[in-house]
Amino acid sequence: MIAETRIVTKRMREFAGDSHTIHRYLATGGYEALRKVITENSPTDVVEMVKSSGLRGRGGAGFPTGNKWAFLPEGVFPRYVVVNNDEGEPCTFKDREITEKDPHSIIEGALICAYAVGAAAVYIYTRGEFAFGARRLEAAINEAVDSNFAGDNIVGSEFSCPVYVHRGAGAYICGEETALLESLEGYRGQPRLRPPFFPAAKGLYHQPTVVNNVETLATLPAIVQNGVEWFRTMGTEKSPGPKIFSISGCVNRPGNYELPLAASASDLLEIAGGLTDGREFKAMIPGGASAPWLKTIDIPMDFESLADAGTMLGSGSVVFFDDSVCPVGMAYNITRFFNHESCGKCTPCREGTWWAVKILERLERGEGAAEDASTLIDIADNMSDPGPMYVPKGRSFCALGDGAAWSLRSIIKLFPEEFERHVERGACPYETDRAGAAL
Amino acid sequence: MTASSIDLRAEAPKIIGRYPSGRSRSALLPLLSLAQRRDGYVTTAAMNEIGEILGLSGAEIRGVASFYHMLKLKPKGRRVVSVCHTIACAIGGADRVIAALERELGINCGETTGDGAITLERAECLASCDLAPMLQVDYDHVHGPLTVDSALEIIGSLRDGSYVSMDQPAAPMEPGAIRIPPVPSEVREHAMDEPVMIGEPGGHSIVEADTDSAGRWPPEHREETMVEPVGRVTRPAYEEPLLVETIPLTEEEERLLRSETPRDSQ
Repeated sequence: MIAETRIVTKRMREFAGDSHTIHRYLATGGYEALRKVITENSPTDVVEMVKSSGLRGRGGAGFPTGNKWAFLPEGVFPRYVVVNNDEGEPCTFKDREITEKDPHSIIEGALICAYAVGAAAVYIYTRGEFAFGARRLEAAINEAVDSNFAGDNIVGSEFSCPVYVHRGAGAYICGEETALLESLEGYRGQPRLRPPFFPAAKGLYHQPTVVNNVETLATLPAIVQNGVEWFRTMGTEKSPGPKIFSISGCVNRPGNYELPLAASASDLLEIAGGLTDGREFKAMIPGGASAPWLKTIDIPMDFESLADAGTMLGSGSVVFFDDSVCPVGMAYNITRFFNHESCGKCTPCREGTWWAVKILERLERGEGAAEDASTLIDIADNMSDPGPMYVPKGRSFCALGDGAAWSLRSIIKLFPEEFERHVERGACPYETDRAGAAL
Repeated sequence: MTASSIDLRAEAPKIIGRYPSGRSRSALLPLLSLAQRRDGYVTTAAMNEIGEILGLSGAEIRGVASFYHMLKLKPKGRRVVSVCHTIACAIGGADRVIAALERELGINCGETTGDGAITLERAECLASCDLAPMLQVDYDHVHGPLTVDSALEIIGSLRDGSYVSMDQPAAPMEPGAIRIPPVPSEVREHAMDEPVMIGEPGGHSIVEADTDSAGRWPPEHREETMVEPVGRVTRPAYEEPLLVETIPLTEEEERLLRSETPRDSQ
């Protein structure tokens, strides 16, 4: 029986019911970390601490958090902290739970960051569909301000920083940090060119900005209170600390499970109750809809191991597929998602995902042709050059196009016989219910 | 504040005040959402009003409003029911739920019932995959894991006014509970021209033989259940009009439709 780690999820699991209140937050050591850094550490100390902890972004890119903070150019003010609460990556639902059940941890983490970088304000960009979560966040901010943990003169110090919730209105692309900033500024959520618009250099209102994911910031209070060495006892050297894995798919108990990084995927499957009874494992997605699939569960879930295996940890959202899932249908489902959410700015993504969806739709309907699989690979290669991931490709304007290409390519490469079978039979050989593509 | 009491010009300074001075444009999305709450959807008048408040043109406002899925630029139902159809929800049987809801309401996804009560739409991932398959009412209240019956119950309660939403986080799954009975993955050896049955093994099929393979009823059948007759409905694959409008064709349009001559030569 695998025990769940209880660090970021500790309060919400042990005090289901009032874990979102400041009363419970303070009673469980909340805001002690913020008080500590403000009264005992200089901002530079805090940046160094986060750097040496090795904490990496929990939103998908896995960028070292302390390094991101240190990139802000000296002497350029005002600066902002923007919390990325636009959780939209399919099968990711960890930030939703943190927002609804432990909103103060987000506020505290964001203010620790704001103190470290000298920010003038914190904006929590929350996806529009998190209406309930936004209400909880607003209530928590009011509680925090009333108790001097946010707003003016935090814990009686000279550090003041307001915290605001900014609600989105339904656009996955606004989870991409530069598109998020565009949306926050009141524009269509279309990504910006980098360089020059790296948020650290020219972010919100073209000022230096730290954009961090909800889980990344919610992990900070624990690091401050327990120390860097403690944090590094979990995970690996390059992927330290705990991680909340959102586990879903053909499992008996989907949910958010916190485990140290580098836990095995087989442990994740077990903790989520195993595959639906009587079924066999077919494939898994290790890190969100953009991640290439794997045909094994015998792999440690950390950034390096998954990158070496040609895929990615991403947001840590794990989907297990059993033998009742049609890979072609699932490829259609995922590509349809990217097509719907494409912002439309660049041709490779806008047209590539559209065309790929049409072909996959035809294949699922049984009207596929033998060359469809190689046409799909061609389309994917035009959206994103094949080769190492995380290297700027120069085709799609942002990683949405890359993500669509990575996912599609991996499914075709892992299951070429499934595509052939659809063409030969003139039909999808699976019961459409589980395939997700009842056309 | 109730919907009817929303005063955009009064609310605007409070919203603009959250952002640095000179950055009032950041208030655009919040103001659009408020306008939708007040009027039921984002009207042209509201966009012009916001334009005056922020010093932007109506076209600029419409350009932003048209980008975001939750902002409706045409009338929508009093309640919006969004059913997620992405990965985990698809595996859990989202298409089955959607087919049943479409049949019950007599509309296709993206459309609104004739009485203006409910807009049904497919949604991409709503970050509730632990509750797959799920639906969301008014982009707020999450319901899942669904069965076809529980989804129909929710729709029923929305229609008869007995719907009550809980201001609580949606409940996680009971350990060991199975949402939808597992479906055997037998390879279908029979030819494609047999009706597609999407249903529980050994149980009645939810979708009957005279629907198309997606479970949609042909238009002439739907007229029996729709409150208003269907007029001209054009539905290219990925465009989902929000309201089925009864728009009779003009004489010119009739002529163009029926003529064989390519348009360029007219």
